[in-house]
Amino acid sequence: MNKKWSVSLLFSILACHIYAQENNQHTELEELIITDDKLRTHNLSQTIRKINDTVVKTSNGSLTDLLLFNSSIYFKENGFGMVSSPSFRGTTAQQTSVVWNGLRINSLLLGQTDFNSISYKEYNDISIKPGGGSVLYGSGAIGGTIHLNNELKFSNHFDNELQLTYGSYNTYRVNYNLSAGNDKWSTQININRNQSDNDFDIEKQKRKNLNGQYWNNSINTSIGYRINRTHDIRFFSHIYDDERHFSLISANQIKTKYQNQSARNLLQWKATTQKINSIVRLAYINENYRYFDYLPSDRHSGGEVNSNIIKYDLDYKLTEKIVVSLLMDYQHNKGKGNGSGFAQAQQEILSSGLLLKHTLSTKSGYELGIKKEFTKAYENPLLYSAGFYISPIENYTIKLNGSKNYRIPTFNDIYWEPGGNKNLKPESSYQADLSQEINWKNWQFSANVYAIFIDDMIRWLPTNEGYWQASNTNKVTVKGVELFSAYRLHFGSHHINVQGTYAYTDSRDNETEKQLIYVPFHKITGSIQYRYKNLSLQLQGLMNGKVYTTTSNDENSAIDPYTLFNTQLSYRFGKKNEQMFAFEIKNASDKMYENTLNRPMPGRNYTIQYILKF
Amino acid sequence: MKKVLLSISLVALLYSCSSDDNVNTGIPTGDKPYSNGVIILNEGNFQSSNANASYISNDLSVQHNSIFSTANNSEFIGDVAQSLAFYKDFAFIVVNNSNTIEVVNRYTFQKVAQITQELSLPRRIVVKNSKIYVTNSASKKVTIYNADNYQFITSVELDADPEYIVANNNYVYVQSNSYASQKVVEVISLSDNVNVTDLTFEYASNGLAVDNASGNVYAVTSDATKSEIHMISGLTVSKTVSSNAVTSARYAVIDNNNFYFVSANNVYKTSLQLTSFPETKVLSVEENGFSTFYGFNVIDNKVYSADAKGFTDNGVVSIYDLNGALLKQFSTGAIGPNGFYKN
Repeated sequence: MNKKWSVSLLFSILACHIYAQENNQHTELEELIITDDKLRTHNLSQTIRKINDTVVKTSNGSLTDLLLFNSSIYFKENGFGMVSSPSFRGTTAQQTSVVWNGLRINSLLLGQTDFNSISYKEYNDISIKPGGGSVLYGSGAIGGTIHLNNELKFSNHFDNELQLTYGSYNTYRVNYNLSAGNDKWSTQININRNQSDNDFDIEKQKRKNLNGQYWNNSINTSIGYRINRTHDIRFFSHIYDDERHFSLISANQIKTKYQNQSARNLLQWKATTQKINSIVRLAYINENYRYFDYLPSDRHSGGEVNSNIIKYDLDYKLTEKIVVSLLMDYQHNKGKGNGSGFAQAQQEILSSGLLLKHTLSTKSGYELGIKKEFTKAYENPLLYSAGFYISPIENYTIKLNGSKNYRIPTFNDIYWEPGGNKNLKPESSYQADLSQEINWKNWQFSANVYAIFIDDMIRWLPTNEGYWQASNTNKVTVKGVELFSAYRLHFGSHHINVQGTYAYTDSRDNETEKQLIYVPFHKITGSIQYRYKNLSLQLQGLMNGKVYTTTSNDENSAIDPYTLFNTQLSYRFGKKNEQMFAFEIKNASDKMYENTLNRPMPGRNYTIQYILKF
Repeated sequence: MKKVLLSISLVALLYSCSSDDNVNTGIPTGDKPYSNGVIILNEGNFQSSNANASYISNDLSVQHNSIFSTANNSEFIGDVAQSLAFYKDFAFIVVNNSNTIEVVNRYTFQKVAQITQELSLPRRIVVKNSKIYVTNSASKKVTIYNADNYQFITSVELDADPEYIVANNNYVYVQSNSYASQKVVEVISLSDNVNVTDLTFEYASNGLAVDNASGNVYAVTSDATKSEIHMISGLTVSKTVSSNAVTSARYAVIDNNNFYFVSANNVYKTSLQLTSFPETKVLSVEENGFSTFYGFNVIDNKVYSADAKGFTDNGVVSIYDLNGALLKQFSTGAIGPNGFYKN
């Protein structure tokens, strides 16, 4: 696609958009809004679970740590704080997509998000959506999607919050949040800093974790302005910067470190009338890294990708019950390498999609979606989804969803020299998902059963020429069950909150019929929170089943199952300025464990946290 | 029901047949359990620190896996066990990404000592005159240690990224690695540790061996269009044979006065006189891309080949006689078997 094309596309979108006249004064104004508005309006046939705000607020550590104890996702960490790769529903790290305010933010170089290299304290809404979502969220939405959303609050307020944390291994965390606004304006600013010496004891090797120190900073800004009842403008900016030394696997290894930076800017203009919802989004995303392979020397290699994105969504209410949506998305990605596998590469991707949402009654409805991509970089897939939901009896909902999803080859997969493959096809998957939800009094229960068929898995395989090459190889079948339950109880000043998840994941290579490496058959998480007046005690548990590290599932090199416990005691006080002290013990039973072969994790460790609202 | 029983008993029968293979994972008995056999080094996955060693007896009747971890409290050798050399009662294991040389008892594989000084991504090792010579790819040096007390002695700067190293009575020969821009064999005098000369070749370096009887050194160089074998006598190239038919030759192995190398999934053999370039293969192994011949050696007229199985699964070793008959095949119980060493 040439420049002229994209310019004319942009103009036609804008023309359409401005046409959304201010002809209606009846639109209800919500006070709290998230920008990815389709997340909750267009995924009614799938399960979405928002992580409890209090849990996010009092959680210490990385996004890995948060999701580890609050979801069924398995994480493969190259040691504590190091590169962290998720496996959601038995799929690969590239098949889990992270969506920031509606935009996919997985690295275009690696295809995945590193869950230890992303900040999360600035988000008011962290949600997990298991299952396919490529029609709405693009590449990588195969196993599931993690949604990081900033809420804009349009009401008179001026709130500050400061969080200070200090813990074992000289770990510090500072978060400052400012939220201010009125019915026209909304502003949120967050500043975060994390750092740690990360020098925990490795008992087995009779040494400390060496060269594991890390720090990261992020600044997040969200601004919303309501021009009038029809038009509003929102701007989101996120800047992230980190440096991680990579923990040594043996004491005399040559030291290395890795620096990651990313910047994301999103400008959105939304026009809402009674019939029409029209949203233009312009985004610029930059990611870059530097890898120092021979410390203390300055020798390094690096890479960078800049993405410019234009998105247009038009929702049109055909009738009170039928909404059709047009989705347009144009993305221009430009990559640069420095002493790495490619010098320069760029790609353009245009996609367009259609959604239909039909609300049959207050109890049932269906949704359909189709999307087609156009690019020269790889073979263009046609994606689709269909879903149905019904509440046959009160408090009980059945959801059925089927979709075709994909994961595009990364910049490295296509352009890396040697080994990048210009003839790669995207990974594709078909999946079906049945979920049942019960909400009865204080009790919440959901059970999902699903199957995923993945074809053309991209893997780097050794060639005769002595290098590794990206190729489309395996087919994988995943079958699984996910259970979730939560229970709330309060009497007098006593509050009890119990929550648990269980996942059974059978994820096999079709040829060998063996379980994929680093996919546990079983994972259980659970938490109990007891609150009495201002005092709160929380216990979290995790049971992670055995994982294999070889494709033939050799028992000798399998990683043993482990059970972990965290416990936290917190006390709230202060009338005018609410304050909280919390004391947390992680890995309370001092379990020696690994989630990646020969990458020991920390034993029992402690954190003190202070939160002040003013 | 009868059919089911029949098939179960058939499976049981097959299973019991295959268990004849004699893989012993328990602790072996005797003072020198790993003598009179071949040590197989399994390098492990890069960045996983899961290197281990396996053993097969000379008569191929006894096989042990995980011999290092068995002898050392379930510890692994380290990250990427690259190569090994024997000296007196000891084996020196060069562990590339751990930046160490593990010294073990060669017969029990119990750890004795560890060398770390001046190592910088060590690759290959040779022991000569009670000294250890190691090539280091990150520092581009040969580092030299006392083989009895493991003290660092000195180092020698190299001109090219090094790989293989061999020694005769006068010199140490260091071959550049196959990716190096300089395609050389650098010659270092044993007496004063001076890098005397670089012998330059046209094609990429792919194998180096020494004939202990004559002191001649054999270098294999090749690319996708051509293969050459060079004989080096002292400081000069005394003979070269080449082929356009057999390409990308690699490895240089001497056994029983014969010279062996591989190309693709085939093994070739010629005399130490290099009368001609052999274009007829001795035998072939199963093709498996880059994993094919991830380890190769010929010991006492038996061909040892290792298939690295793409490093996603335990490696498989196949042993052939010189007529190409498969004598033995087994899993090494570890990732990436890369070398065979006669113990």
